[in-house]
Amino acid sequence: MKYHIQFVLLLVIAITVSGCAGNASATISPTSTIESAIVEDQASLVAALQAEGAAIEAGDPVEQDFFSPLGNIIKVNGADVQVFEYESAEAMENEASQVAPDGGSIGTSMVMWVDPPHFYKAGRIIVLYIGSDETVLSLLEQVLGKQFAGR
Amino acid sequence: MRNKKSSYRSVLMFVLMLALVAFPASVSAGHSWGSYHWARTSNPFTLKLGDNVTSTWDSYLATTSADWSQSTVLDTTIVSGSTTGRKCRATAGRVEVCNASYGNNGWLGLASIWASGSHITQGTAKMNDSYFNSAPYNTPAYRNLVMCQEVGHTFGLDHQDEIQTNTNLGTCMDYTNNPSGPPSNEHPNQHDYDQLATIYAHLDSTTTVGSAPAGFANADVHAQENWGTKVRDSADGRSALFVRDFGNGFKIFTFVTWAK
Repeated sequence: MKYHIQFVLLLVIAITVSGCAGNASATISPTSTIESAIVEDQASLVAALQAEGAAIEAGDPVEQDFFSPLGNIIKVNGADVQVFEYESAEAMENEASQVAPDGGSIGTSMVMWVDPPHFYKAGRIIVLYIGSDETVLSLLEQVLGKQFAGR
Repeated sequence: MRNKKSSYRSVLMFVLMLALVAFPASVSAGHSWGSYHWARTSNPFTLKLGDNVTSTWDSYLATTSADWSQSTVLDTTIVSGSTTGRKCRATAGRVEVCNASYGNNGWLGLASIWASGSHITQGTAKMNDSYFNSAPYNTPAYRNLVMCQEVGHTFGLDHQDEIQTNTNLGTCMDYTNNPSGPPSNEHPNQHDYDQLATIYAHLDSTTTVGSAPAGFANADVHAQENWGTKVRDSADGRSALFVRDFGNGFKIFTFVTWAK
């Protein structure tokens, strides 16, 4: 009986260890996937989008009165997406907080957009997509999460 | 007793539903831009619109000025612009209206205001030719819509509706993909005028309309006696901050670093 109990105990321990080992090996990939998906700046945004299968091309610089940094346009599957990179996350959050929930105004500026605006943020960047392409919207949401303002 | 209570509730529900049907949520809900407004001591007040637009836009600015001047509380007058279309710098006490190719940055028009608290002190309205120079925006209807809307924002008006694809409300303060309609969204409607009357129903003790106070624009800051009051010294005594207050929110700050 004693040996039986010890055997069962060993078996349970063995199963547990093998399960943990299996899980440990399974967690390596998610960890590395999570690390590679963290978006902090434009470079990591581009990497994350490419990892999701997006075709990325560099575009022109873009200036907006209501955002301090000079931005860059990146073409995501051919669609213009504006990226504004700040010195710090705090500086980014300060300006992001000025965007109205529907994206129609930023601080004391009212904007007539040509298409519905979509604002995202992560790390030190604000990302602005003006358009309705579902593939582009899906890609942006996959790497940046839900938009924090827009229509 | 239970039946009476139940009947009472049913009657109450019926009355509430009847009220909802009789008084539906109004499309004429307020559309002021927060509490922003020009401070003035009397109505109607006259707001200058600085003309920094090219000849292509002159007639649309004239139409917008005439349209908004139908308000009972404000008039507009077109004056020479104090800036350029490209720079579109604001001027205290008025609205500078500008057009230029500002880039494919996603907007047709941009209205900006500067405010001291809720009092608008200056404004700009920008029309982006990067879009207006080509279809579908190179039409009189689009130019009227955007000019009218951006200038309207500088009075403290918000949009009446922000869905571009629904039926026009018949006001330039309504988003649309079809500005000519029908109904046309190229001009203000009565609700806009009513909203302005509401915004400007009160009077203020000061004014932010008109020119900057005398002496402000060309203030001589070379002589220390013109710097105003010293408000701060640096710890090492090598620099200081002076403020000269002209009133109505107009101030000149002079930072000085003393020579050894």
